[in-house]
Amino acid sequence: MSRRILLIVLSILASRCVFGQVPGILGLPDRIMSSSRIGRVSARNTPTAIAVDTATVFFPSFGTKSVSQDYDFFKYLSDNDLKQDAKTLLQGAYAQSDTLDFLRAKVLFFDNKFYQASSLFSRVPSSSSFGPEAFYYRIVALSSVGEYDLASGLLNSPSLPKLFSAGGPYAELSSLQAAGLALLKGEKDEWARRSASFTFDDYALLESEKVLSDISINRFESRGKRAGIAALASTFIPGAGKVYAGRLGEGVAAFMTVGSLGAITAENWKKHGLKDWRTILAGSLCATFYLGNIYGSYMSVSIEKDKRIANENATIIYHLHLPLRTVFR
Amino acid sequence: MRTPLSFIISIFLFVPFFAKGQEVPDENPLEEALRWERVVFSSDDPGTVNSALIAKAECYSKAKMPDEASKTLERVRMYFLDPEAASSVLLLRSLYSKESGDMGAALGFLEESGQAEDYPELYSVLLAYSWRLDEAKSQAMLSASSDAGRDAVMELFKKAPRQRKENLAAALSFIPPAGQIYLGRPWEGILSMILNAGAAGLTAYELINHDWVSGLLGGGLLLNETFFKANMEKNITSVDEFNRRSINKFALSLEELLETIRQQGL
Repeated sequence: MSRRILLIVLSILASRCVFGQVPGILGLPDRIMSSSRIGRVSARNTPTAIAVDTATVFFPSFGTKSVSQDYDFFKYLSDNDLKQDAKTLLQGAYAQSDTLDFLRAKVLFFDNKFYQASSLFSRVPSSSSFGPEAFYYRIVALSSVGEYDLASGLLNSPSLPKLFSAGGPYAELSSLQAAGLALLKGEKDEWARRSASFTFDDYALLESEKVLSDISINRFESRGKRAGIAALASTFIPGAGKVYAGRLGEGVAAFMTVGSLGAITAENWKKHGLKDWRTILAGSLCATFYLGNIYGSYMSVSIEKDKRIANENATIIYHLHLPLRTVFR
Repeated sequence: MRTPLSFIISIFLFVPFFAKGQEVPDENPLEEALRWERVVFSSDDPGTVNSALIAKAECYSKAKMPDEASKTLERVRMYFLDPEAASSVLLLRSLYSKESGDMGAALGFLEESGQAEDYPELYSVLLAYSWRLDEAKSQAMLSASSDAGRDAVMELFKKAPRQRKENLAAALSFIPPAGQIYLGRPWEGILSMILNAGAAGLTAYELINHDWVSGLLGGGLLLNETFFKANMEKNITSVDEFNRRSINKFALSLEELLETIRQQGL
């Protein structure tokens, strides 16, 4: 029983806490206020990041049968979302070929094994009939694991085949992916240069071009909230910084808690004097929660910003992938 | 006279082999499943497709992937099956759903198959998981063939848990530790009672001394933590978990008892 209580206390004091909450021991008063019924009114939607699977799938050594014979069957499995069967199929001992690498890479990609998928996509030469698809899927796979520099390096490489660069049939798709990567990396100039090629008239790319353009306004043009202003607001009116950060419920909870403790301190001060233990206790608690709220307000702005960026990044990566389904149907 | 379940499964499994004069190969169940999917891919005959899907589901079951097995049976063209075969497919889906832990779906498929009464052990366990304990008891009694077996069933059902209700848990939370005792956590209830008594005492003390602000606001803050958050809210949110745990424990004991009754011919 006592061990359980100790564990609970330690877990409260632990610096790591749920995503969206103010971390650390300094954030404890803020977490207490935020956990109240009113505090929880604040929306805390956690971004849905893709769960990357780093496990490696071992494929058997190569055989003699050509995988092309089974291509239609693979397409059927893939179109019907029979992932397990597609995986089992490609475990077969097929003769080494670009098609085999591509199909295995795609199975890994849809299984969120992006590192291994990227490595297999890279083995498909651009001259192969699957070359363009493998190239762009590799960019998405690398983006999904945060390898933005590597992905944009591929798109900006001087040896990029003409097929993918200006004047080629995939030029606009390349621009879209490069612009998306510029957004992910926060490179405003690169975004402006790449997004200038958006025509907004190719139906396969239209939606993604619009979404990325909207995100770019948030990312590069809106001023965003400032942590200092949130802290200053909470200094004057407890909870105001939280409201500024977009957490109305937490702001109201903080105002009520700090306000109540302040009123109790004032009452005890008036009735029992400054040095009375009741005044000291209530005053200390009030000061702790008051300072905790200022710190919490300051941190909440950056937490909300991180949350927004994480959501936007997930959307950008989704829109790097989305057009590929139509372009390479 | 009921048809043994294994017989039904084996008929479905062997139909395609009989049709093609093949022998059952001994291979990796996932590869075997893929082989059946090829049959589905290449065949236009709904009968062959159905047999292949049923055989494929069995492969997934062998590979300990009941979810995939159940999903595979979802693709069976039920309209093409005669009522008896359709009922057997539903029975199989019930078994796979049970294996994958989806007891609600398992019960639904079993009842939809119209064969629930023919498998009283299975039906009884699935009814128990759904808190239909009176019906579960009747089915369990049917599966026992002797007085000793029926007595054992009666004995077990005397210890059957009672489903806890959120409203009652909330009402009992007004008198700590009643809510916690109702949910099987008496020690936590005693701790809650001490904390709430302390908080209420402190509030009363302040009010008696005419410290109205400290009494009302301080008491409000304190009781919000000890009475509302740590007591009432926690009790209400733990009702579902308590019910799930207690019924799972009981249904497992029932399953074990029915297995013993079957093995010992009681």
